[in-house]
Amino acid sequence: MTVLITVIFAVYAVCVGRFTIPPAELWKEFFGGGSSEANVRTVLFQIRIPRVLLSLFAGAGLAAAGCAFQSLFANPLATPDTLGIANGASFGAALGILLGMKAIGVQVTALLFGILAVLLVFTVIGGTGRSSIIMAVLAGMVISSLFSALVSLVKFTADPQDVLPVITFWLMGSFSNVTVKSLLYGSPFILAGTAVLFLLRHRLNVLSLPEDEARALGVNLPLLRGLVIAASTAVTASVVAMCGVIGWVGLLVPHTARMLFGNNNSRIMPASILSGGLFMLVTDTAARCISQSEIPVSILTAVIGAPLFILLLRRTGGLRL
Amino acid sequence: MKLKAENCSFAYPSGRQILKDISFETDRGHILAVLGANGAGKTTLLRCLLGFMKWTSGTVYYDDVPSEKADRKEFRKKAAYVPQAKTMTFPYETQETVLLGRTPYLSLFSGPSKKDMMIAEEAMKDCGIMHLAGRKCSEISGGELQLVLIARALAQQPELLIMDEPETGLDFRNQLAVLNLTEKLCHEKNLTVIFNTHYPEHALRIADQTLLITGEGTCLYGDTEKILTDENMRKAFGVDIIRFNETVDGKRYSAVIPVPLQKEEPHDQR
Repeated sequence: MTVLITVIFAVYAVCVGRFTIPPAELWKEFFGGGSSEANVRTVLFQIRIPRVLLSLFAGAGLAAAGCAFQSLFANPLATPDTLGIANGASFGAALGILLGMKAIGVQVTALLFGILAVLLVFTVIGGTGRSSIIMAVLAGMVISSLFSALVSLVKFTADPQDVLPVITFWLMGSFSNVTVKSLLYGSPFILAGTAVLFLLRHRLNVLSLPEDEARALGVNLPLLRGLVIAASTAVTASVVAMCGVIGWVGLLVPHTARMLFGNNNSRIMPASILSGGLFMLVTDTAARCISQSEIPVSILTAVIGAPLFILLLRRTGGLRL
Repeated sequence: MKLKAENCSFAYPSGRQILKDISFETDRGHILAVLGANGAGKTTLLRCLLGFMKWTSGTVYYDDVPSEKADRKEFRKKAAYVPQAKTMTFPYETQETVLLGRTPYLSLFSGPSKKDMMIAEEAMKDCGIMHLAGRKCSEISGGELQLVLIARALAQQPELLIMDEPETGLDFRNQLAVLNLTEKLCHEKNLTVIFNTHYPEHALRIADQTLLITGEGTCLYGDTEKILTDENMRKAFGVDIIRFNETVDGKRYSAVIPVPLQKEEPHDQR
């Protein structure tokens, strides 16, 4: 059902925009031998389709990572950013923009700093000789705020005339910079990470149990936690690297799924992936169609998401935690 | 599962000795109760038996195989752990919780099969909690949740059941329900049961053998009646004991009542 809606909406999203492509043209392009005009083809394959695909992947990936992190930390407030990935990647991107790098360069530095943030978190935990989940959350907060301070530093030093607005707009998140090339580089990480999290969905149920219970059930905790963190980091760092910081999806889409389907990850993981993708696609389509100039997508995720979430809260009687 | 511990000791890396030279033996169809004061090392003992912590010295044999040579994966299938019922962050439905007991049989990426679901349902029936199906673990009582956790352990089709104070915090009726179920499962499924408890009455009621951890980490082991004497309990808990025995319908019940020591003598207050 959700798949069908997503597909229909994806086709619609491909068509609408400042340059409207009639569905008939679309049909001709794919099934009629491709006889359409050159500019239709350019808009379609260079801009529209990559963007629709990326928003689907990013939404699905962030929702999956959020869902997994909530189980990993046994905490309903956990998000994909809990280990400092988003702030690390933001710093990387801001630094890249400050140094005048090209789009691909900015993406790569963002990705690297996102991964660096997680590695730093593990260095902090490793130093204490204990590896409790609370320690990880705490270390994540510390690293996160360190990088957010560094982002401020970069903004402070950036030229307020031209560089600062670029950084600020980038940090608010947008899918507008996507190209076929960046999609080809970034999406494998998102897709692979999401696929791993999807496959681990049954095990995630055990992960949120107290440690002793999980171990007694034969779960190799270091391996499972490592896999979840690696997969989520791959997803989150790539998404932030390509589209900037997109809030809301990673926290609230999984909760929406919980309200509808309970807490069983076997069900809420696929539900999160599907509704995360759809939600992101809807938001991004709105972001580029509502007004003449594009609205940063993370503003719309909250503006569209909040009423939806409140409606669901009322309908289902709240989180069944 | 036949289980034998020989001169097992546990000390923290800091050097604090918790358990000293513990030896005991138990087998299928037997219940072993572990008693001792707070902080005496009951939970440490269970965690060592489950392999979460390493004995500093001594050997445990599972079916005559020393624990370090035992197949870990097989051991995780054979040994089930029943924790004390606590609220969960993400409460699952009761069947979902019981189904988690099948985890040791599943590979990393696979989900439970039809057969696993049938085994889980069977476990729920054995524990008499089919009527809780479809309810969330946060919406049932503490006593019911404890039964769900026992069903989860049972779904693992274990040979050894290790229970950490399963009846603590429950009302009289639920305590009985847990004790009766434990006894029933032990005999019907031919399980080896080890359970921690704070209640000597419960040990006297269902345990064949008892391990009483006295001060300083040493312990007394033997048939429950012989171990839980007034003198031994006085040593372990630092209180005097008066006891009432009553026979109802041919079954003997003991009530153990602690009274302050008659003469105050310096003893370990732990």
